[in-house]
Amino acid sequence: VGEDREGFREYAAARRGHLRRTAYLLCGDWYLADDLVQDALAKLFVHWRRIRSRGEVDPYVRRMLVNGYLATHRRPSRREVTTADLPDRPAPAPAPTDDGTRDLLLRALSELQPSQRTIVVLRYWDDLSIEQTAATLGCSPGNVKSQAARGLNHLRTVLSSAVAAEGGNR
Amino acid sequence: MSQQNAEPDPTDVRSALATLVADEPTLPSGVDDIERRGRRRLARRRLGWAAGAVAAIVGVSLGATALTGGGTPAAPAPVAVAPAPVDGGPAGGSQLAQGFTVDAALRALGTVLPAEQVGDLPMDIGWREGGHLSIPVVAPSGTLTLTIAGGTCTATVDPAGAIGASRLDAIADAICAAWRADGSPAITPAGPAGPEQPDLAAQ
Repeated sequence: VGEDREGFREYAAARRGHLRRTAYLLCGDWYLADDLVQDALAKLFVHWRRIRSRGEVDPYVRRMLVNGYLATHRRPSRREVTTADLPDRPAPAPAPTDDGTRDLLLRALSELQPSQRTIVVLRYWDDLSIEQTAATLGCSPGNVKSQAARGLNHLRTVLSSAVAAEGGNR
Repeated sequence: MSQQNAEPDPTDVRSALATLVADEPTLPSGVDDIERRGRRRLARRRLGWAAGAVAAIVGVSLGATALTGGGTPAAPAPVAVAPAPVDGGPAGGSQLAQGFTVDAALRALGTVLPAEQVGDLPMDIGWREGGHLSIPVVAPSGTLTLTIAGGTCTATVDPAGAIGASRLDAIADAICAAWRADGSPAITPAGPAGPEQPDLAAQ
């Protein structure tokens, strides 16, 4: 039991940083991303022995993460709500390359359908193959291909228009 | 212009995604928090499992009582577990199984054996002649037999060694304590087992 516990702790410590970045790209909110990652890893904790013995730890956590993200869109109670009073939180340090592209890209990502956004993130951030992405989402490889191409085109269009606008301003 | 058919080169998008996470704030919590959350989730699962098992057992007990009760109409399936009688008397007038119930024995067992080590309970679970109650166990799999006879309680397991001797003693002690707390009621056999069950269709 102690060995299992240590194994889980080691895995969680090693992977949660990457999982957190994936979750952020999915939902666009670091706080929700932390929650999604904690939830996915807590689910893994429950089934750790079985999942590890099957060698399916990464796919399982990824599936839980994606399911958690998609669930936030299905359940109104878990959706983000706007409030008049924002809590005091330290503002994140501006990214070194923040020239407005970042906001533009975040907006472009948010314009994608949740499943399309998931496909883009899994394919182009997590470097999953088409088959792995399809297995994570439980859809066909053909669907992944078409959705990924559309999502990519949308992002590329937004990015190129930003570059063009920047060129026009100079 | 369209890039819909061929898989486009995603290098630019990948680097753009990388800029989005470049300002990642520090992690707010440690692995301890995740582990605590996992333990809470595990506890909830176990609680749900135990409640389901108890409800199923009470349902089976009610069904067995209705079948052997000489024409008493069957009670509806229970939605909540009734507390065990504390006065030691028979379940005065109710259709609940009399004597030391399987439910009470399983609750006592649960104080020693983790819920996940108890296997799927058979539909015909119940006390047998001689005061025996067989309960499937898993990891390693086997059959735990509780016996209350002659004022003493014993716990054995087949195959031997599936549960350690000290744990078997603890199980026997827990069962005995629960049985005595109930006033040492009679062990009422639930009726014939397995193939000897009455053919309901024929009736």
